[in-house]
Amino acid sequence: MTCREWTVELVECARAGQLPPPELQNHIRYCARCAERWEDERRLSARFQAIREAAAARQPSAIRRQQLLLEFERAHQGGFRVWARWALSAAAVVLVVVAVSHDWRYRAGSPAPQPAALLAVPADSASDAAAGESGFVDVPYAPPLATGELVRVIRTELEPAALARMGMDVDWADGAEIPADILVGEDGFPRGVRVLADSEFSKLQ
Amino acid sequence: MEPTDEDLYRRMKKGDQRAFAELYERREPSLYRYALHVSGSRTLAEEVAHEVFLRLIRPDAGFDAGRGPLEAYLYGMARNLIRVMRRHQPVEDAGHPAAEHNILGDLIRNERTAALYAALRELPHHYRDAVILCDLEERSYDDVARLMGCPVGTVRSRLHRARMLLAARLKPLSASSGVIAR
Repeated sequence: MTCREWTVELVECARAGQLPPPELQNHIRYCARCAERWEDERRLSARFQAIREAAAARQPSAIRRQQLLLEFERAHQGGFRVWARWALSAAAVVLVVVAVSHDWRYRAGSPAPQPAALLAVPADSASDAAAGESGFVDVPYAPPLATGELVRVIRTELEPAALARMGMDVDWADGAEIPADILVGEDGFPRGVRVLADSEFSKLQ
Repeated sequence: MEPTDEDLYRRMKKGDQRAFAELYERREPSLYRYALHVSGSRTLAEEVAHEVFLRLIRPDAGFDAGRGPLEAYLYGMARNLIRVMRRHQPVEDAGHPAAEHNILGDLIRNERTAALYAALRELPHHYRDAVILCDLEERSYDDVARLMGCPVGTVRSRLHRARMLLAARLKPLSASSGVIAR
């Protein structure tokens, strides 16, 4: 074996605090360079040993440990507070959006499926209409419209007998259904009826 | 089975204080010793070991398990902190009056230990880390290879080379004050 190869073993023996094997001891006896290296390595290992023992005697600071645990607690509570703030803000935004959209739908009057065309008419003009200016006839015993109440006009066909019961003069000899507009309040009850000429009805169908 | 450092880290990130305490108790002593051996200063070592864990608590702690073990990340953080803190404070605390660990204080004040620490500081950092982890922390070559992210053979050759450099640096001192041997 060469000195270089012996050196590897020599260092490991010094690190482990062991005596070199007999062959290496023989080599050290005759090789001044390896003998010197062996002494250097032993000294170094002894120095390291002393440092290790001294460093192991150190006690970690209980105060610093406590500080860190408090810091950890604070950091995670803070994290929760931030999370909760975000969650509450998001919930508030969602509530506002829902409220606004609900209000908008309510004001706009969401169209329910109807068998005939729908026309939105302001309550005031509907009242006027009900008064006769637009040809609407009051439905008997229906409650009056409130001021500003939105109404809808539904175009449909009614049986002549139903119109006759409302006091309307209709020709119902052939029994055919008669085209008419019905004025409906926000509560869904009819308030007035207007009979249409056949030509008007077919234009809008 | 004992949880790994990475398990404890994951749990502490979810707010588990006991996991944090366990990780601290497991790794703080070796981080302190590492900082002490690199800097030669107990005050700075205490500060570094504390600061590493403070940074670990922060939400922006950049540990990525895919890039290596947590322990290597902690050592890397300690190394960087030592570099930064050294610019702002003197290296040695020879006159530290309230030392809890006087044996270490005495040893640091010892001329030969001071010379050894000075020689360690002058080594390139990968040589120094090999000496600290293998010889002062007595970690296996496999462990050190994992922490340093290099093959076992590289760790061994760095260590042997570093020991030779240290021995050469300390030789005049040894020659003048007699031989220390086991």
